[in-house]
Amino acid sequence: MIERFVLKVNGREEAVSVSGETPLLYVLRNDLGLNGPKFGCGLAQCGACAVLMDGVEVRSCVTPVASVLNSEITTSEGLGTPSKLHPLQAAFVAEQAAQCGYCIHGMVIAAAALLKRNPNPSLAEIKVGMNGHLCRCGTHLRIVRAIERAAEEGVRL
Amino acid sequence: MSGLDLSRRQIIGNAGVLVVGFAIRGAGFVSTAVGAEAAARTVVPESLDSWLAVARDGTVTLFTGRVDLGTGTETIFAQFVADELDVPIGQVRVVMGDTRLTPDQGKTTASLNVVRGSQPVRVAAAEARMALVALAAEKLGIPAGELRTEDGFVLPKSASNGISYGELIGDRSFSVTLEVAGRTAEDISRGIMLKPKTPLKAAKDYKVVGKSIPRFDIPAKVAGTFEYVHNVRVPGMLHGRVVRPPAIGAKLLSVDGDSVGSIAGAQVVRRNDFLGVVAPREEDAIRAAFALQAKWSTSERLPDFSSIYQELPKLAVVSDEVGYNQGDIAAGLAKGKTRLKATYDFPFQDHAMIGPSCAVADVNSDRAIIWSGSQWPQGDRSDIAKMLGLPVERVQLIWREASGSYGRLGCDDAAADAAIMSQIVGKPVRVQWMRDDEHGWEPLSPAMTMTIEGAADADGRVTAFDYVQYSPSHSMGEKGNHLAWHLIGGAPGWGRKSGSAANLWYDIEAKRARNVFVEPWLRGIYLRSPGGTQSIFAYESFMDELASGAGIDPLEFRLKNTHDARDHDVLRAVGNLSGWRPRTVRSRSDGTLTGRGIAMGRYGAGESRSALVVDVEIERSSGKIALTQACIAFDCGFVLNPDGLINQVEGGLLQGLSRALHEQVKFDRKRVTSLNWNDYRILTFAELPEVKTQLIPRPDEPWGAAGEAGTVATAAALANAVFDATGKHPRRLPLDPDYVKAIM
Repeated sequence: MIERFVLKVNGREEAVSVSGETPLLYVLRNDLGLNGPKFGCGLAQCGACAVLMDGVEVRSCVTPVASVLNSEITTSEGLGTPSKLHPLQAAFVAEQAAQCGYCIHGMVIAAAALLKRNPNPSLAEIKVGMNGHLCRCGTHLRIVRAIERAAEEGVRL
Repeated sequence: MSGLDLSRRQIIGNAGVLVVGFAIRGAGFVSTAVGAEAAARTVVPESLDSWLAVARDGTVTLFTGRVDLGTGTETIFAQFVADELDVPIGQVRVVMGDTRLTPDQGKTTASLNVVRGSQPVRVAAAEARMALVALAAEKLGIPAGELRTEDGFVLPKSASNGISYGELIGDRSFSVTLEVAGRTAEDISRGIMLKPKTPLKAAKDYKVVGKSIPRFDIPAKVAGTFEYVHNVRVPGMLHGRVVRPPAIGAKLLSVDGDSVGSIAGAQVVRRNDFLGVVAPREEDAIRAAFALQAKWSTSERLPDFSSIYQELPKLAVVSDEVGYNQGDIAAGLAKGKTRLKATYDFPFQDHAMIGPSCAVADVNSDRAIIWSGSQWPQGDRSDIAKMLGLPVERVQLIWREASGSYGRLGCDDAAADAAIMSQIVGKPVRVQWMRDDEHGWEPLSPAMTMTIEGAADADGRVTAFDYVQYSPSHSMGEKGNHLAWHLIGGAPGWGRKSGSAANLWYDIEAKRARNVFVEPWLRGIYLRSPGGTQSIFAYESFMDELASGAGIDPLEFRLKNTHDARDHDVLRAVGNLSGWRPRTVRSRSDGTLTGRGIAMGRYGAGESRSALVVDVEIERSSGKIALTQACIAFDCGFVLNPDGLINQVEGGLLQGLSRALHEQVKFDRKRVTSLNWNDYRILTFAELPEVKTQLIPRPDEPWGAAGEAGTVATAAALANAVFDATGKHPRRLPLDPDYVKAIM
């Protein structure tokens, strides 16, 4: 059944008319034009679709839109723009922490969630914190360094 | 002026649309810039205007048929333009892989974008600089020989003021003719080259090339606004999903359209055995594909999975080829003190890109526009034209970056899926594969079994090395071997054999390789150094086994068997980097074994090479391997962008470790059964070793490939570490706990 929902996304209220069980991912991408979150597996295994829900990482590919109505959703577009990057995103650029970059939106989101709960993570804590995110290009080391850089720079989420 | 020229002129000339070239890869998607006309003709490589355009504001746009698979090609090409044209790199934009806008430069494969693909780019930029100098000479009334170029200006040698490129030619054509060096079949598929009329700059004269210029694409990628093929949307577009057979070769007997009747706008799309669904909303297309009831015939074409390596050599032989052959093998074997024979098995593996294959197609009765992440826009265009029954001139293929592909894979398949669906429903269709479509149906890196018989003398010199491999071709996607085309019927099949053994670089009196290509069970296509990755796993494993038999340290053993200075340098460099000490089998009392392995590899004709040392800890009770450290020394000749190269080398290293440690496609008699990231594991953050990388730049050597050369020796280095830790050499991959425990 199609219903009208009002979502809070990247600090704005957005109205959409969809079925309540629709995974949030498709609403973000197709209704709101937010292409940061990507379809990777639809199984919550890879992390390409990750978004922040009230500052905590969730997998939008398995999150029904009806379940997020009272929460603040943040995608990488809500953090910064290419010309005005969030300091966390700037740390990724400074470390050139991407190759194909298909996973990198999810990595930025996971890093934001990690730094929010632990502003100074150890290497081991970063590895554990990022472990549910897959990268096929082998850019892991740079992603770790980007998070270390952001922590050293005192980036706050 | 043709329609094509008009559209190019609009793209180049209008400041608002000029951004498209950059915006295409950076931010938004402007469909009106490309969608108005169908393909007119290929942009001819003989015209300088096909390659470069200068706008009034001085922006230089490069049009290249090569594409960037996430490796930084866009930025490297801009570096070349900056240096050859003497223009600030910030003024360079790159448009890639649009069959209507960019010259045909063949396939983006084999890590040859720089080595091969950049050549016409450099020539075009150098010719453009000469053309600008000639224009300035005329305008200023100063002989060309007294002019110089700098930062986008032509100026007298003695003066600091000149005329900008934008002022000289902004928005106008160069009308300069270039000469294509050759048009053999190989030139067409690997990419044409141009004959330079002006000498190209030498490496020592580069100012931008050779520097760690930050990649153009990364800011938009981390901001989530980068324009991937997955983000292409066109007006009136439907979402499509494929419904694959339950078994390879199964025939579609019947479809129950009512099974999707309750899903809004869902429509079944069928042509022979090709089956899919479309719907206005993506989630509805997914639901419909899941709900659709269809009857298929039974089919059991695949062998018993547990016996694939025994079966491979028994398959019908397509061709039995000599790789290299020198000396007398029997005499070499007789000379040896240590004599060994070993068989190594390398599994079927996935390219396993994170973003499943995706394409958008807009097909009507007389033309088609396809947006695809294909690594060969022109080749795929031509295949899809044949499949659709359209003249190739009426098909435009617009490349958009996909998820990293590491070899060709499902991108071309998804393009064919979208094209057929769009042709059937008469509307634009976007198809993205689901995860199980990707893992289940992508063309794989084929399995290989390799046997080596060899010997070493008392001094540790290898006296004989006799190698044979059995594998299907690693290039079964070159002639329209699309899945969809097979399912609708009439696919031309495959026609190129690749995946031969690497050329063995050791100085061995008697060495021989046989490459036996057999009939395939599954579609196969190249994955990072096809044949090289597999054969070097076998070569370098065997070298360690021989070294052990001869009682010689494996680093020393390798140094004894190659006299090439660059081989010695990478081996010694990685020895220093890792703090190599002659090998002993060590065991800890707490149930953990430690081991260290070394291996080296070359890529191409030896333009690139790497050596690695990998350290592991193995839990004795489970056989589980922990990677503790990986060191790599890397030499690909001239280094164009050091930071970008390290990114590629370390990526290849980690991907190679992932393949060796975890990766194996599994199947039953019907089809592939490893359908998601739990069934097909790849390396995770928790498993990262400490990594040390050393580049060995050689500006005067021929340029080598980067991406694949960093990955070729990883599996052997890891296997040799397991050998060191356990005293038993692994003979197959992946090195999963069960296997490691079994050999201990």
